[in-house]
Amino acid sequence: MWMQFVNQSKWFYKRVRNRKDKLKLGFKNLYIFPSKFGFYWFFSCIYIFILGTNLNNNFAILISYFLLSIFFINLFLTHFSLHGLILKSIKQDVNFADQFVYYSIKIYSNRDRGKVHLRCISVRNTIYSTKKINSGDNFFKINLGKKIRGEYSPGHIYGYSDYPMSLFNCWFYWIPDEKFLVAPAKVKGEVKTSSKRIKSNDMPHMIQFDNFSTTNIKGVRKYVTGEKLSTIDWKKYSKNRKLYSREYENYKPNHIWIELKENIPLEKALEHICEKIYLEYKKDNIYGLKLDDRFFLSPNNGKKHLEECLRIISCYRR
Amino acid sequence: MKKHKFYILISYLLIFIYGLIADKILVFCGINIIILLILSFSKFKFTQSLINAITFFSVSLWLLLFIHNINTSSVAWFSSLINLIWLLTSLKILEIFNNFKSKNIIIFLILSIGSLVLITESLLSNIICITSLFLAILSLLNLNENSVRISGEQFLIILLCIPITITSFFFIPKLNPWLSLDNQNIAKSGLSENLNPGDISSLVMSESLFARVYFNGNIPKHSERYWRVIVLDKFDGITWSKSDFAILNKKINQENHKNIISEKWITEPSEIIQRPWSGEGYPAEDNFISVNGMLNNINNKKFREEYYIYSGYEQPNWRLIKPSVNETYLNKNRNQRLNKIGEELAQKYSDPEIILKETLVWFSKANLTYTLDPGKMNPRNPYDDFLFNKKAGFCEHFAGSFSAMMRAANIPSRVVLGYQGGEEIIDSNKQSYLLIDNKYAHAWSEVWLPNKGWIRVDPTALVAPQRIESTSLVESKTFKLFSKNIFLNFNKSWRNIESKWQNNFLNIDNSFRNRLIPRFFRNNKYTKSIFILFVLSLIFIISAFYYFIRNISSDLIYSWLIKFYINKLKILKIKIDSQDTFNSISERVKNEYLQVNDDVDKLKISYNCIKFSCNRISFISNIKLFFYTLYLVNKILKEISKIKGIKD
Repeated sequence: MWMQFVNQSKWFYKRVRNRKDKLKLGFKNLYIFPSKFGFYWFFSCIYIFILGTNLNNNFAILISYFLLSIFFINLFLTHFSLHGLILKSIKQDVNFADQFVYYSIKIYSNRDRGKVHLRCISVRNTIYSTKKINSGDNFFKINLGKKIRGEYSPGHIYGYSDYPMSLFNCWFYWIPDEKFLVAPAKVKGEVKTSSKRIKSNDMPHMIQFDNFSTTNIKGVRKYVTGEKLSTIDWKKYSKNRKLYSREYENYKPNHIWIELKENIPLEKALEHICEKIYLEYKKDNIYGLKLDDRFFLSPNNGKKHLEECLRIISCYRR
Repeated sequence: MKKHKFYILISYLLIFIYGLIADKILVFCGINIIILLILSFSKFKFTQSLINAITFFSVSLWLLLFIHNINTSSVAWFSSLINLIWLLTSLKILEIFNNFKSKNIIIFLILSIGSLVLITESLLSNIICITSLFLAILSLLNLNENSVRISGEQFLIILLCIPITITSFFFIPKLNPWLSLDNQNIAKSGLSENLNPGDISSLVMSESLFARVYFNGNIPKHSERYWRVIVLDKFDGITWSKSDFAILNKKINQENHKNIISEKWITEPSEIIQRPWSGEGYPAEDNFISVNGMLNNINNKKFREEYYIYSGYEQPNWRLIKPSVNETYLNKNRNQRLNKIGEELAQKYSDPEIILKETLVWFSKANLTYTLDPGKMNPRNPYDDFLFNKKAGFCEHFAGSFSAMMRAANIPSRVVLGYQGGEEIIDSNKQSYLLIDNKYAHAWSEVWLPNKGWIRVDPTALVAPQRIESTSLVESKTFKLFSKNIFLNFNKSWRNIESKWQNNFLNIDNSFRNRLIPRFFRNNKYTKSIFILFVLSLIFIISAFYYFIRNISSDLIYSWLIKFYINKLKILKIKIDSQDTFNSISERVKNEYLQVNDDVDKLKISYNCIKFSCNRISFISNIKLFFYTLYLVNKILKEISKIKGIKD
């Protein structure tokens, strides 16, 4: 869109401070200007009007007024095709570095409207995400191109509509609050894994919790902050008001620990880990993640655990 | 084909076929239409390179024509511009079966429609233009990118523009023309300023409108309907042409109470500066009579024009002005056989009246026939060729040869070009008038008789009396009686509608617009402007407000109302906590004021209906519910304040 020359000049959109997790479009944050086609239309009206006046032709003047009134009515129509929309950033899915990254937003409308086009300003040469707005919630996925791993803010999102006759462009800017994650690409490779139990001395605040039964308790030890609440011996607590964790007799760990391999470069190692984590998640296995002494996650399964693991490897040393 | 492309194609074909029929469009645009029509039935696709080649060829051709015609008239650039627009539109439309940018073609279409409006003024062309325009707008609304789904909404968008258009048209005063545009291309009368039988092979009958004439009394008989326009008094043996003329009268005082309007003329634009008239009475305005009986004006008729001919004012009669040298001169080297007959008659009879009669007898016995397609005459002796070889011709041949023979017999004579006849039509005010179109174009002779002055002689009437008695020869040739009647009846009613359209709409001027403005604002230009601005902005505000109301959610208006209600309750000292729901507040009100129990219940139900209903409430139901709630809130608050007042 040629309007972006105006829209995206720094002096202008630096002043746009719509950093909110929710934005209601109205008179304060909507801008409107005739499109290129609108200018052509306007000049055609002027051409017919000038010749109609000079050749004393009432009908030509009437037609020029009619075309002009269409032009001005479109001013309202285009503005109100966006006015009243509520934009909301929603929880983002985790994206991977080798794929296109998408940012999801939700747009609520009280009635059916025309098409809305959205794109992220910081990303050059991306296609607009375009959708017709229906009454109720509408979900958009904005293409942000390919990115390296990390946690990002989407920056300025630019949206416009030229409904219904493309004579005007009505646009807005919005900086959603919700950040999104880009995990390393999933690449098959060697990963250091271990299934041995990690001693509580090595990792005082980590505890294995799975495959235990209340009947075979080996003993108790002092509870360390960060351990699962399910391991606490509540009976002991009721007696002496001190927290103890239970240790089990026939403990056979069925989980693995995924660790960082030291011989290969960090980024590659992370990509391999990412693939491994994803595989484990698909098989619904229990796994833990250990990058170093400060970055680790106790074994678990499920989507939430996967997301936490991916968050750690995305932000590791960045 | 996609919907919007279909609309574009229909719109294009409508205006271009009409333009071709009306002879306003270049031939190669026409060829384009034919190609397009053929293509629409075949699967051939124009490649972009082929289109580029055609564009290059056509634009070069246009450029050549432009260079060739630029010096021919002062408005050549204007007609060239219009033709260029049409040409470009035609070229662009070739891409219709490819993936092309529809918006560009719509702009070209709008410009083409605008151009057609400028150069044709008939009701039919107006209808065609407005239809094409609506189709172009419809195509824009149906574009793939942005299609307006609901046809009702499409209709609404167009409908909303109409009040603004009409208000602008009737209230904004028309500006005075500031460009010196002569629309010579606009309309052509069936008359030219020269008469050369060697040049014309056939007479093309155009049915385009020339003028309308209203009479004070009865409409003249058919045989008396001669409307003179151009007098050709110079004759070199081949060509009859117009000489420089002297002015006969001075401008008359229109306010003189003796003046009675005898003829009212409404004429269409044309290239010539002469205006049609009957030859009786005196003109006013900018018109003046020349000594040879032409009604002249300084300018050609750029626009549709209205003027009057008055009777009851004494002025010298042009019929009595003696002939000039031009009107007696004859080149004896040309048309020698014709000259010989004239000379023989002059030798035989001395009385000019007898010579005139004998010439007419000779003409009636010469076995001449009337035809519209006589072929070209011999360029050296055209009238000899007509009278003695071909023996067939149309009015100009008859009038030219008759006048030449009169000069050979030493009687001053000249040819008059004008219109003969006219169709009698009754307008909406039950006033009858004559409608003259270009098919009534005619030529006749005028001869000078010493006792009578200039008298009219129509030699065509001797040979083809039906040409004078009926309307024209074309109709009797091409239509059978039955179809002719249907055609004439349709034509009559169509002309009636067209006259209404022209009188009531196209002739609207600033004085009419002024009358629409209330008297209080009319007299001062500032108050007038303020009034116009006020009316226009009012309509704009109403449209904007309509969209605003339509757009904002009904919940929002409703929550404003409920907020207002709760604030009022607070003022009336009803205890309200921040954690209270609407239902709990209602219960409290009910407990405290038993008299409003029913209304509070109703309010509760309507609130719950709007707030929690799963079904979508229509726009009208929303408005109804809003006003119902407003009524309940008002009633409850009034009751409570009344009870409160009694308690206090």
